[in-house]
Amino acid sequence: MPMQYQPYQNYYMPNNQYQNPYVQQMIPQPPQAQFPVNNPTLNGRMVADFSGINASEVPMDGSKAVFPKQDLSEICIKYWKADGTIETLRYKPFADNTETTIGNDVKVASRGSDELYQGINKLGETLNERIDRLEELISKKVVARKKDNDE
Amino acid sequence: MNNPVSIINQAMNDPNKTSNPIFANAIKMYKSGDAEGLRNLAINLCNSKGITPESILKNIK
Repeated sequence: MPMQYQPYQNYYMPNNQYQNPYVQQMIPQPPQAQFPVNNPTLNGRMVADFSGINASEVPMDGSKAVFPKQDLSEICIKYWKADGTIETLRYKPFADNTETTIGNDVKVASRGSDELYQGINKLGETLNERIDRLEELISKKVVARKKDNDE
Repeated sequence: MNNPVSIINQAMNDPNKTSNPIFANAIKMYKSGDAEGLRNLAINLCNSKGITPESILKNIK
């Protein structure tokens, strides 16, 4: 029997498991609350030379602008002061956690300049003590030789 | 149109502007009538930005 086109036939098959994937997207989703994330931003840029920094590159909201040199040999920080002038701070690299041994006793830690100065002072004190002891020894020997010569 | 005094009064209550240390300092001097301090502040700002007060006045006119 040949199939005939039936205009009022319901072609929708309710038992069909197929689901259009786009239908689900049409369902309105409840709006999700979005909280603003305050990520701190860094003002500034890499520079070849600090002389090329303009005043307009320093934000006037009190925050600081960071200008590292391209070779990272120095970092410059600039910010506006309340009196209308720009303050400039410079940072130079400093190797951390490295210890240098000077002589037998004194270790100079390069963690900070205070420790470095303390190490140098200790070294000076130990050297002075040794020199004093040597002078005493020499003077004793000189006196002993003079006595020997006199006798 | 707002006159300069009302503009300043509005700005004094704007938290975005009062967080600016230069502006806060200027307002402090304005309130205390420190005209010399305000003048020095303006000169410092001009020097820092590499401009002259005369050039600003020219732009305003």
